[in-house]
Amino acid sequence: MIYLLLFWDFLKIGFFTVGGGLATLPFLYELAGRYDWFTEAQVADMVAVAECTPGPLAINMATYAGVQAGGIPGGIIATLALALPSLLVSLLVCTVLARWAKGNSIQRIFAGIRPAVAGLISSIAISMVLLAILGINSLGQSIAFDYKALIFFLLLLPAVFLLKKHPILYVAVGAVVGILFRI
Amino acid sequence: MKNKALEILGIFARISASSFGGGYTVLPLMQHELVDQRGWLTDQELTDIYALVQCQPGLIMINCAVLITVPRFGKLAGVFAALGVVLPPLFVVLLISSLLSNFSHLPIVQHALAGIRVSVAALVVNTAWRMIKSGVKDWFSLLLFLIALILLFLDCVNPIFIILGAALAGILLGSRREGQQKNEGGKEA
Repeated sequence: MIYLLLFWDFLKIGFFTVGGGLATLPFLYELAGRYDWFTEAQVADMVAVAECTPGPLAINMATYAGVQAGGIPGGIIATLALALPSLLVSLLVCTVLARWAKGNSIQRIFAGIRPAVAGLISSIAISMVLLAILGINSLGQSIAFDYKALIFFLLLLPAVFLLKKHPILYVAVGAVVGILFRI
Repeated sequence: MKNKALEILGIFARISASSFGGGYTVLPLMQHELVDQRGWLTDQELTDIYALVQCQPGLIMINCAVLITVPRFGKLAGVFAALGVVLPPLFVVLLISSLLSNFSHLPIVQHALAGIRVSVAALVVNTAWRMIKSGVKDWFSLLLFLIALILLFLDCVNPIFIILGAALAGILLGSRREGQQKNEGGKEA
């Protein structure tokens, strides 16, 4: 019975998540209030675990929440239920796009969207640099400036631009440097 | 076909397993694996797909995976791509949650994450630069670029509305510019 509930609730979350993993947070808090699967404090733990495990944040949180509620089968069911709407909606979008993509107005729409997305990603890049090096979070609060992070960033950036190695290499180097130099 | 399906599952499993901390961190990985190494799509097409999935319900990474694979390899490939995204994090979190209650407060994990944050920041700076190169080509697009950057940075507008606004600007100004180009062409002839 708990598995059916898990499936249904995470299916709904999968349908109503728009724009990234942290958008699932309000839903998880709501679940914490409605069932005794996990507490609101554990939801904060889920974010922490999701951020240090690979993969989409929403998947990480769904697996962790599912395990808290119903053990390993619960984790698997919650994860698949969360992923299913993305798959179904995307398949539908593909069918629609295949029909419309060559139209003139679609080309005009994307001509407007492309620079805007470049702007969005640039804004995210600036926020990430501020957080990683200056320790300034999205609320503008300064946590801690770390000169070691700044030096590492300045060494790494030309390498990323020029060497074009697989990104996982830089992620692995980042983890090792972070541990060795206590960033 | 069976081999292709497994190859697609493997590629997206690797991309998913290499990404830390949310949807946009996957862009450098997709650029490297799919644009540079395999040539499945261009930077511009990746930007288009990324814009589309921002306005679409569901998870960014799964939506990207399906929208990239289905037009090239069919619907079944999309299912395998989505599975590829889901499986690595599923196994990692199942393993971790059965071994440790919460490991994220350990100092070694915190230091590793701080280092990874610096790496990911550098990777996303590179991705942003590539998107600027493929998307910003004239004064009109530079203006849209700056407006989007400032609005998101000040955190006053939901990204969905920024994208919808840019789409509207594309329709209105795009048709005007095309009209002007036609007029100019007419004069020359």
